Amino acid sequence: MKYSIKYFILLMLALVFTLPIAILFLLSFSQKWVFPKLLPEKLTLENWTVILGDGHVISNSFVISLSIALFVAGSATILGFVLSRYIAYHPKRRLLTFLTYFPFALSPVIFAICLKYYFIKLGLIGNLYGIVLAQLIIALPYSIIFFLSFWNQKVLDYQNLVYTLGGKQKQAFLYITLPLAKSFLVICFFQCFLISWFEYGLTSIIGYGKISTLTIHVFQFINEANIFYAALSCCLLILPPVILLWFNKRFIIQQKG
Amino acid sequence: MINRKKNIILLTFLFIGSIINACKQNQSNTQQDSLMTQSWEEIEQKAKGTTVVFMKYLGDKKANKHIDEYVVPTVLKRYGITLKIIPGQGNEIVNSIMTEQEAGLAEGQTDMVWINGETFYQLQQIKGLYGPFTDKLPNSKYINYEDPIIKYDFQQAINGYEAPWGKASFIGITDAARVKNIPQSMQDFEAYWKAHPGKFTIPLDFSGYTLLKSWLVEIAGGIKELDGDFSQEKYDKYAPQLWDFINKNKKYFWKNGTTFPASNVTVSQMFGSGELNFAFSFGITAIDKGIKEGLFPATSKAFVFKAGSIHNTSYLGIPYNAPNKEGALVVINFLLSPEAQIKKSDINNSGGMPVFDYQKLEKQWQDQYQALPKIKYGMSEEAIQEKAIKETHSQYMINVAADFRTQVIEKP
Amino acid sequence: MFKPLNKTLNFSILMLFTLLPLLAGLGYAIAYSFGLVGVLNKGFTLENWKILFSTSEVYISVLYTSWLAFASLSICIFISLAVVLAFPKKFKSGIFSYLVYMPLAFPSIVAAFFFFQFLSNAGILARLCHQLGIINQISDFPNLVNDSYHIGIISTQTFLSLPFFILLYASLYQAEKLEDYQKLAYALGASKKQTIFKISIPILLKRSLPSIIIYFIFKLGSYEVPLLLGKSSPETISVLAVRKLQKFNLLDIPQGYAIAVIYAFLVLLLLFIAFKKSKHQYEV
Repeated sequence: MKYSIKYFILLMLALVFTLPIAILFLLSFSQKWVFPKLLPEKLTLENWTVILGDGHVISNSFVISLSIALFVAGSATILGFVLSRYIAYHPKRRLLTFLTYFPFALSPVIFAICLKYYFIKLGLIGNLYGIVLAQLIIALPYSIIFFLSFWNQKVLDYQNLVYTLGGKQKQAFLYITLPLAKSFLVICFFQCFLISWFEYGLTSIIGYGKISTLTIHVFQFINEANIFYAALSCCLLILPPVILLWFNKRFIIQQKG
Repeated sequence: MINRKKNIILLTFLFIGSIINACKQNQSNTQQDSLMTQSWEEIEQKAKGTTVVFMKYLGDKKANKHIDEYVVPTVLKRYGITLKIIPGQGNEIVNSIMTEQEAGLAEGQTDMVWINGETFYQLQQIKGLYGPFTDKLPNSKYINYEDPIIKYDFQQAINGYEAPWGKASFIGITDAARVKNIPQSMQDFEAYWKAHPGKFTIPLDFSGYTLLKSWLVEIAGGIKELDGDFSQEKYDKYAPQLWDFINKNKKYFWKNGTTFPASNVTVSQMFGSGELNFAFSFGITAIDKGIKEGLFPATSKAFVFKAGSIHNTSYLGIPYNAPNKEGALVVINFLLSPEAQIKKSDINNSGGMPVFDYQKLEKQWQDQYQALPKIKYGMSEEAIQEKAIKETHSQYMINVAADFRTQVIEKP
Repeated sequence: MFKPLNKTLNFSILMLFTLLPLLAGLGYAIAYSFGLVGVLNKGFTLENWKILFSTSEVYISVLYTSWLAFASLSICIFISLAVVLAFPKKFKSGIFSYLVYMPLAFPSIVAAFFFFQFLSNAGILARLCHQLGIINQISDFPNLVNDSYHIGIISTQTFLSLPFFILLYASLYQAEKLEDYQKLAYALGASKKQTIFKISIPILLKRSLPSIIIYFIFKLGSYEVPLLLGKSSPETISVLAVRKLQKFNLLDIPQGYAIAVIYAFLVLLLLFIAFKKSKHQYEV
């Protein structure tokens, strides 16, 4: 008796976790779906073939989003790794950490509104540079905070050990720090990728609607009440994280919002 | 640990930052240009190979498709111009141009914008528009700029600062199968709401605010009373009656009037699904379009509110700091052409009424216009023209939108 | 390859991405709200702040946003604690260790869209009820989105943060050796209930407090979910600020910036508290 309740709870939980994805995919293959009908009248590949067809805005924006996210993730990870080391062994470590947290915790939309003026002044509105910079402003702090837990006493001790044994800085980095940091670097890269991949508010303000990333299209489709295309774009947004999850579930840990 | 001193230093920094900013006050520079002295051929030549950024409202699926599949490729083929559409409407447009102005930017992000009413009014207030330019457009010859519905945008003379693109008339949409006696006056509606609660709502966009203005006109006893410049006195006299009327009845609205949908797109969806019995539109072709799409039931009908059908025109403007004004002129000229206007009026595309003066068209275009598929379900252009009334001054729109929030939405 | 960059360069890059945007952005917002910048502003004035505080709009917005964050986090923490204590090993390996990650693949906007399609009056749940004969028409279905009880927003937010808290508690459960404590407690004659409420839950809650505060701050800033699923009034802080900045009345713009300033200071304050509460400086 007790076990059946437990299993029921587990089943519910499994449903909560999987149903949304299943339904979004179902909607993306649908065409007519009037009220009392539980299932769509027509299931078709048409939406997918149209949208993923040559030169369609959605396939273009998939590529744009992907490029932005990869670039942001790459630079945020490298810069974050270096800067976090600087903070970790800095005497004012706690203050610097606090300062790093602030841009990370702030709502990206409000942040964007306050920064829009400067982006315009610097000619960084409505172009890729602007978006990349703006997204770095939120992704980099994340990366720094993430790596702070890497630079602990142990890593420092190992490095010092190499120096005492007559090793060079380069050697310490190549043979000690990098292998130790490898999994951190990979996870951080994917986290930053997702921050960029998921971003909407900031991107819409700084991108001025000119750089249409996938999230911007989702919003656009929702606004024109085009639920099937919206669902399809949602699926495209979910797909990369789910694939990453397939490779390694540790790639995805934290989410903002 | 962060010590307190550091924190104080941090706060001081914040204020220094703000003061530095304050010193950087910018002002807009008015444009003096040689653009208008060029010949049209020179303008077309200069526009070739450029990109024109067009900021417009993107809420209509079919209209978007028409732009993507007809306007963009045609402009590219004929004039070598790449037309890039970006989303934005009303105040988003004003806001963007204003921020650029504040940043003192000589070259902005947009080359042309789709505007009317309060957006035009506000853009003029901040000197955000380039012009006058309509005389320069060859296709202006098809347009009767003396027609009051084109000459005045919400009671504001356009003076060549925007070119007309489409005419619209505000109508209600309902389903004759569900609503036997279509209400028209506010009294009718009150009775209807009480008998059928939950089937009506007001969208928080220009459609909803136009409905509110129609009621304001009804309360004022006709458009004559609200014609001309904005009158605070008259507004203060009639608006409270409108809010009373809505507050008294909003419990019979959709979701008991505790919330209102953000746009008429949502309202149309809910009308289609049967959740609501009324929707609104600015296009006489909206019903045919909706039925064709399978969104509306075949028994849908158009009707006009008691005050009449508010008529207005929407326009194309060029921001004062548009980087590619030549390109914008060429695209606007194309959009004004009989060909583009007829295509746009097709119910399979955007629908709505063209801005040209039919009498001024060459025979070939007249025939093409006549050959368009006729409206089957809505009201005819003529029937609506009979009930057409003028738009009120933009300030009424701005006030109604602001006060609807404070007087109705935020009142429990 | 890797050389620790020189100190000044490190410091400059750090400031470029943290302090500079912060000071610049906040400075601009403050200046705008006091009428010091902006096309329609005419010099220093307190008027915008006075207008803002003359109505209850902004107070209500702050309270409402906090309430939403509090409600969704409480539900989320409750569920994750219950689930982790009931199945401490389930999320370590096996199918659930994968399933639990699924919501993390959802951007807020997608989650909001899904919950709208699922919970709205003509949505999937309503259709299901119709098929089962529970309701006859759309209007019989209770309001679950854009509703007075904020069910839509709270469900979406809970869904989005559930995995994080389940995984957090599952790992804390291991890290804090709760199993050992529990065994010890049983050996000393404690009941199961006592062990859970006197030992496990307090330890888990205490250790997760900084994370909870940080998450609370994130939720305060949420924009897409309340935008799609919220009511026209009250509005969350982000939605209110953006509306004031981008919608009808141009004279509302300075108020929008004032709201941004209020929000920023609120976040600063909460972060400060979170920092005070965390002994382990690495793991906020």
